[in-house]
Amino acid sequence: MDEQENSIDELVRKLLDLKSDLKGEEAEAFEEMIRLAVRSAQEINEQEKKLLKSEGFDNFRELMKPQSSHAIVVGEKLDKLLNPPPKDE
Amino acid sequence: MNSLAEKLVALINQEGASSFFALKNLLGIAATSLPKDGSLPSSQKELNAFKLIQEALFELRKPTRRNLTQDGVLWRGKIPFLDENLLTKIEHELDEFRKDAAPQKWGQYISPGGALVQKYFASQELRFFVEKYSGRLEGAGVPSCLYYDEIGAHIKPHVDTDNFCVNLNVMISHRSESSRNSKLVIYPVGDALPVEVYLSPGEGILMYADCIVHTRTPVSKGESIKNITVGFKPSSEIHEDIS
Repeated sequence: MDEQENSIDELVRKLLDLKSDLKGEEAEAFEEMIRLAVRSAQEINEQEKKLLKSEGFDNFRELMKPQSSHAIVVGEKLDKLLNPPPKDE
Repeated sequence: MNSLAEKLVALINQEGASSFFALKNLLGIAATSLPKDGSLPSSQKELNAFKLIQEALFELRKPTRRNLTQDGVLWRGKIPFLDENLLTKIEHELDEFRKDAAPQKWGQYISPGGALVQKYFASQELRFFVEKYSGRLEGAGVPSCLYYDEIGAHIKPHVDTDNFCVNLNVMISHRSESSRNSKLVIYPVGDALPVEVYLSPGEGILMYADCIVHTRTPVSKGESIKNITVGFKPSSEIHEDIS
């Protein structure tokens, strides 16, 4: 998870830089994309929580790589893109 | 001047797999926000964002993909070895595995395949068949069985995980008390509208599923679907370390 978190942190930093260069329609599409990602990450997390106690081919399900861990991290980190810290921080 | 999607992809170029998949997974999660009925977003703002998501997912894989078209489809047709007799036997095998299948996020169930599924869908022959369209692949295909048999079961619009870069989706059975409502929907990159795909039993579709958004819309009351889906990874490109 550390490597995954680091790569997402790095991506968010780059997205913040890119965002500061965007204007007009591009800026609007970019921000909406991030909003959609946050909204979906929350929904995926909720669905995955419901599955935690379910039975079945658990090992196989792991092989299929649920998105949950990634979605949790994405959902938390992307908040920085929608509510960026002040420049002097 | 580069498009915004190209600028997004340029952010992670030449930085290795973890960076590549951080962006790919973010875009994939965002794509899940689409309506589950196969339609496009109703607001222009969301539609513009979705177009950006689609284009960036496409751009990520475009440089390394053979025969990649706007809809990602490589082949569609009857699976050559799947005659009526074998189809019936495989459906019975799936019925056995359904009892212990694991629930998934949107009401569908998943199980590994039994002996017949392994024999026919994890075979070298099938890999060679797929390679005719995709070029060289890593390892054997990974087959899994999907069941949509509870009211409303579906898979939201998504792109596949890295195990299913190339996805052969085979219809084993599609039954209903009245009309068959559930369909596969593919969202081509560009201006084309979403494409509805109704597969007959024994029919399959081969597509680049990790870079083209697609969905299975909800089944209605009395409707049930059994699919086998086989994932492959093209050789000579970045893949996710899932260890």
